[in-house]
Amino acid sequence: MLRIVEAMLVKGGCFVKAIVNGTLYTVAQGIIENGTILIQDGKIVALGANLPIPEEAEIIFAEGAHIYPGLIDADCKVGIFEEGQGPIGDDTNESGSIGSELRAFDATWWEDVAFEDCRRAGITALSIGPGSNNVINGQSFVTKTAPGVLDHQVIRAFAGLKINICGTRGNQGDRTIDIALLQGQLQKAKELMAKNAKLIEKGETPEENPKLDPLVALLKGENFARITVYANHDILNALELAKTWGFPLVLERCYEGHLVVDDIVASGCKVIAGPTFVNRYGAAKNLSLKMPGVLAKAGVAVALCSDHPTLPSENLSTQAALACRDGLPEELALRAITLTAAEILGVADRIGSLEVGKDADLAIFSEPIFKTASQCLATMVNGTLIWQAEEEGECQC
Amino acid sequence: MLAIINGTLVTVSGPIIPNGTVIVDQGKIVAVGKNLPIPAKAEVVDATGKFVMPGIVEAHCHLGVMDFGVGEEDNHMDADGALAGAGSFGPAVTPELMSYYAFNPRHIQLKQALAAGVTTILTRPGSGKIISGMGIITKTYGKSRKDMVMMNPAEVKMALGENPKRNFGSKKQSPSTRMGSGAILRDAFLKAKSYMAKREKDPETPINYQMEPLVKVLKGELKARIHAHRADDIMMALRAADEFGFQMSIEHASEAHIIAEEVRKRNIPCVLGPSMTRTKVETTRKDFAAAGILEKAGIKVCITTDAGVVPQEYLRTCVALSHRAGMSEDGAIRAMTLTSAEIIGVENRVGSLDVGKDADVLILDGHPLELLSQVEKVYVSGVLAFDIERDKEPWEKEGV
Repeated sequence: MLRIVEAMLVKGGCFVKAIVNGTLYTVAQGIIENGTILIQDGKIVALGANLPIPEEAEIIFAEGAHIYPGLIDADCKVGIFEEGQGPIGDDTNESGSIGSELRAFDATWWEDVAFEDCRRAGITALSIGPGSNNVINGQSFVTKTAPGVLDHQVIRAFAGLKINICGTRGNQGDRTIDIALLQGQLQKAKELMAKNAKLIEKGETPEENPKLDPLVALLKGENFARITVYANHDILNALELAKTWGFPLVLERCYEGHLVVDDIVASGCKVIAGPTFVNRYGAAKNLSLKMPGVLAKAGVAVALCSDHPTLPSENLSTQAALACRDGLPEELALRAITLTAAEILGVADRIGSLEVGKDADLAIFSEPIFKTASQCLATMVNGTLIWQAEEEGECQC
Repeated sequence: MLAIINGTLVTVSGPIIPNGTVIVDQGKIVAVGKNLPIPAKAEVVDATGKFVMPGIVEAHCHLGVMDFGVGEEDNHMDADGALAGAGSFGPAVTPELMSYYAFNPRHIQLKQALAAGVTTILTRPGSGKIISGMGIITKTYGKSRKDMVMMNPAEVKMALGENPKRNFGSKKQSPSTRMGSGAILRDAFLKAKSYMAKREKDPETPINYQMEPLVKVLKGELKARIHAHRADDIMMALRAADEFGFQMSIEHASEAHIIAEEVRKRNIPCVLGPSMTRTKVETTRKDFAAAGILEKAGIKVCITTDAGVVPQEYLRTCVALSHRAGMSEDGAIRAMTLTSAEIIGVENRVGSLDVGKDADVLILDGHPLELLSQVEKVYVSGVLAFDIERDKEPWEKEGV
């Protein structure tokens, strides 16, 4: 379906790519039939119907193809839980219950096969985080999925602090203990913040504290808490903590969100929902596949995620299709794995929609993305194809 | 009496019938076709614009016999202990354990399976032992256990590869290696063979309840269903079947497509999946494309979720993704209905819209292989067991 004609002559420094005649799902500004995207220096520089194509451009003919912003998995463990390696490849949970200083990107192996699976599925960005066996588990980050050394792919090094207050820490699990431990840390962070404010006032160097600094960032509103919540009262507990301490909150998993919709709406917090790909037992026993739709229709910003390897990340669009089937309007289902995800993760200035000025991260499919027959044809990050389906005789590149 | 009219009938056994009618009486399908006369006393369900298909059949799961952490169930999955004092085998061989006694016909997960259109399941012991016990085939809905259970025992479950090795290796017991697994499997069948010969020669030989299920396997009365992911584990199972002449299916079969010719020439069916997860080393090469490869190789293949490994309601999703990855439309629909029923041996009762079969019928708002299609009504033996409107949860209802 895709036919690529490379530019015969690249004129000095002005290398332009044009993707022509596709259906563009901009997410931000509706659908453009027979649309063209112009790309320069890795950014989208123009898009629309009937755009003039610069003579020197490399052209990707995409007749009949459906072009989306690269998909974003809002929470996963790609590379930090390495596939096929057994326990030695699992770097998700450090020992100790308070791990604010831990950074997931320190443990993410960029050659994990799951990255390639993401590229094959049109996924161009991931929020990768630690596990949830501790109260404070560590710092998530956002990365592109292009191959190569991770450091060059990361677009937000600290994208939320992973916290779990559900009392699910092995044998020592107890909600009351988890919340007491968390509040103890928040109190210390508050004291450090006050102390440093005084030091700065006096013109002295503020104290650095790797364990408390991430929490200070939360209290200052510079970063956000991603709190794992399963049961309805876990959700209510998280909402109260955020209100009491005044930190920005994103709820994760949120299995019983549909039971406390009004509270979530009133709090104004955002949700990275699911995956709904879990068995209903214990704290997840009231999980409903309708939860993302119920929340989004009530006005909550809802992103979807795989929690890879719970659900392998490449099934992200399937997860969105099922949420759509079960009540999430199609437009919001697409948004949940693109722009809403980018907004929640704080990277919407760069990715999440097809808009002029954003990174040229694209996913090109053969059919509308939620159709069973839809195949990913090509995936692009920063204007470079990072994956392309093999098609006999068609590719002229 | 019930008449489902004007639906697109996915009969599975024959071609798709547009604007067709299914007539049900006393729990059985009594007529299927176009322009059928509607009996006067029949309740009429209009399925205009809908797809009508047989209830989905899951050939491999653990619903109702698995403890999901709430302490309600027996956790039959990998129960300890062979028959006290019998001592025929070690702890890794317990063919005498019966899932039937662990099965809770009112387990919440059966209700969720039902709502997704899964009406028949083979539910069974886990894979932590070389021979773990006997599974059953049951409906997911019914008045009583007696009404629901279709076959008991339905099989003898066996397992090779990582699971038994990890289970016993961690206790410093055998099998700790694949060598141990192979030896234990062979030893069990050698003992059963010799017991069988002894019983035939001298009927006074006391009955050994550990041996009896394996004798049934040797005689072809029960099938061995052997959990094997990797190609080498599959070959170990095939070698045993070759040596002892028993009938078997490969359960999971994650790498069967890599050795498709070995499987095909023995005419062994594959219960493939779950392809959606792959956290173990032995499942690294799982691929939704495997279904289409096996199909093209002429191997009988159905698709499983292994619920609760993958939640049961994802079976139709897994089948849709197998279709996306290359399995034919007809093969994919069969892989969750008629082929599954054939592999587990209940095709005379379920798996297609045919006269004489149980009236397990689904009504969907779109094509069964579309991800966006929803199951709206589920009939089990002609009873409306699930209705998407009627069975809403309290929080879904307006004004609550």
